[in-house]
Amino acid sequence: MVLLVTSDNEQFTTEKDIVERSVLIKNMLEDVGESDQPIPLPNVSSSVLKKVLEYCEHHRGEPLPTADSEQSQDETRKRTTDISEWDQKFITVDQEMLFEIILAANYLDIKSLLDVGCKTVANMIKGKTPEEIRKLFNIVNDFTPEEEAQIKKENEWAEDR
Amino acid sequence: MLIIQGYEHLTQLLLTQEPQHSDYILSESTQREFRQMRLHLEALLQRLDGFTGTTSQPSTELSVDQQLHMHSSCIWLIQNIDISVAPHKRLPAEIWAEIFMMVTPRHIFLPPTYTDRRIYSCSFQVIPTTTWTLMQVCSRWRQIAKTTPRLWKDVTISLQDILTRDTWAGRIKSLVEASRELLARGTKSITIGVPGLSFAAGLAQSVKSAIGDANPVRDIISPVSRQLSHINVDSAWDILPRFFASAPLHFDSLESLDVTLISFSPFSHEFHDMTVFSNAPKLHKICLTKSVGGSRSSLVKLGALSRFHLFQLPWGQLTEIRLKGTWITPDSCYTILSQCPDLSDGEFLVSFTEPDVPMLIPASYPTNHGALICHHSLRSISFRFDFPETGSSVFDGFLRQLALPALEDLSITTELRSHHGIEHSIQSLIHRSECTLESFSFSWNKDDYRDHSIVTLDLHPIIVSLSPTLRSLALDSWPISHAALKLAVQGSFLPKVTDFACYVNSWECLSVFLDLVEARSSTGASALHPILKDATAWFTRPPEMDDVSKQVKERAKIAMEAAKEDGRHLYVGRCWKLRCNSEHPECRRTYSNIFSSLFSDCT
Repeated sequence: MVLLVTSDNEQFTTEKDIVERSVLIKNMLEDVGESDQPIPLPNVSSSVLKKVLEYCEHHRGEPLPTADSEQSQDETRKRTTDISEWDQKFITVDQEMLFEIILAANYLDIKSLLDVGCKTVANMIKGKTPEEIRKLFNIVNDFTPEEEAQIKKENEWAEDR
Repeated sequence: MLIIQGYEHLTQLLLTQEPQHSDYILSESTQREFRQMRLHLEALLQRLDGFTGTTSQPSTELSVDQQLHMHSSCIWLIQNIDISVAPHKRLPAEIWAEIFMMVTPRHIFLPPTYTDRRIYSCSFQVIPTTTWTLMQVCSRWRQIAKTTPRLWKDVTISLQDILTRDTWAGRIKSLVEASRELLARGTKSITIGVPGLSFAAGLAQSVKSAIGDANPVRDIISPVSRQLSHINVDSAWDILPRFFASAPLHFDSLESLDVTLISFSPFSHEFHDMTVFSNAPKLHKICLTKSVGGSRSSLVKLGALSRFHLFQLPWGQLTEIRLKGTWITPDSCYTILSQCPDLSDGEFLVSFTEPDVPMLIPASYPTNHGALICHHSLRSISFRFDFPETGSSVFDGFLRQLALPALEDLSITTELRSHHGIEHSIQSLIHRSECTLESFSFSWNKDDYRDHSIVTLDLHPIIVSLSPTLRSLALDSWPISHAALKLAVQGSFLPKVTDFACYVNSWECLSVFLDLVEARSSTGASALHPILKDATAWFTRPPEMDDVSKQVKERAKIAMEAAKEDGRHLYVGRCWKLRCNSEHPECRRTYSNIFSSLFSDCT
């Protein structure tokens, strides 16, 4: 069993093969060897780690992506945004949590979870106009006058057609 | 502005508008403070809503105007806190870049509003969100998109407008300027479609003066020539020759080149050379496609590539050459094969009749190429022959000079106007080469306007000899026999075939064909007789509908559905070859196939 300590000082005890879906934790465990020492995760809060562990538990035993397989993924594969049914249900959370999960997956180095999070955000963006995207993510139009001029120039192509 | 006690500094910060910026990341502690401030504001807003929502409980301390002002201030502060602490800001640029890759299509188009309907209308329900869309969201996204080379890897620069003499120069100049910055962002593969001038623009001299010395394709490519690995040019006939014949550029990374020659203009230019590509140490693949547009009466220079084999190209390193829709002479074909020892894939249209090329209708072949060309690298070759009306030994003479020991895939398309003994020539090539063919395709474009009763063709000896090793066999316009299909069902004929297209001329033959499909389905196939993944049976004339035909038709329908469920492809139906009824040789060569399912015209 492995003991994990979150940024808000909550402790989670979990099985090694579950938590080893995180390359970061796997490497840490290899470095410290057999030890009861808790693993601190200062960048992950308890609510997020709970979700991450839920994901890891569901996908335990599945082969981890290797560096080779990552490299061999062609452009088309990378551009597909299909998400399995379970993953889709799992990632149906509010935006705050969604981005926290992505950040945690990135920090913990869980490629498949990062992929699910990114695909979810990609699906939210697809088919939307810039204004709709801004509204969706609470983004303000903060272009400099130079950028505005550039955009106008880019759009002028449209008017010419 | 409303000042909340204890949060004055945060209000001041919000008033600077800085934390609202997409690239302004607040510290964790400031974010926490903002969230606490938001709670206060919400509570205050609730109280204010109580005051302003009913006249029976007026505030004794604040006027209505003051309450309304506080209310709107609260709303403003909450909205701006939300913008400042929005979760999207926390994602680092590299994760956004990854998400952008997932959102956008593979190609990016210039001008931004040009979307290739040929691509999108087929594969997308809605016009996709492009990189240009993402670049118009906020400053940070724009910066991320601009600095992510992967997003700019495949660029299509295309003006599809018909430009007039007055607009051409200006539009082309804007296009070249816009492309410069864009391509520098990391483009590896580029497709360029630069239009010439429309016919309406005037007479040849007038058009030439409008274009002047402009070389827009070169202007677009030259700043990034070293980084490009693939170039696809389908620009106008007036524009391309001047680019190809211009001084060599450094194409350090260029691996493949696709050129589509579009002949809209009556002022056709001949291609004299491709000098610009003479310095391309990695170039190994060239594909030239000729697309004929405009009216049928357009004059088309057919001999434009008759000197192709003399072009300054790195012939010794080429492994793939495809010349589609553009004819070369037999001599040119021999020369290409001789000067490309590493060529493994070739596609050639060899004309024995072309009036614009040096070799005019010969009584026989060979002419000046006497020695046998033994090519040891060629694995796949596709020939299309354009025969003269007479001269039966022409074809035999051409193939007799070739030996291709590495050949695995042979494809021949021909218009057979009289008996040329083509089957014997093919068989002798295979025997002489001592090759092991895995794929054989023969397409016989019969001329619909001539009497074919004198034309005979028997491909059985060839396919029987190739049968043990063939994995793919396509026989178009030549009926396979009932007996051959029966042997295939039993497994003694075409035992390894996985892709099979043939022409059947009776319902009985179709029934045996379906027996074969069944025998090679996932339930019937074995290690010795693999699954028939792709099967096609063509009819040439409308079938008669009697009880037998109705049964076979029903069976075919069920088999097609079963194949679909099984992940195989099965097509049973008719294919018409339509041809232009013009006397112009280029038009006469333009076929289009129309497929019609057996079920679409009988039900």
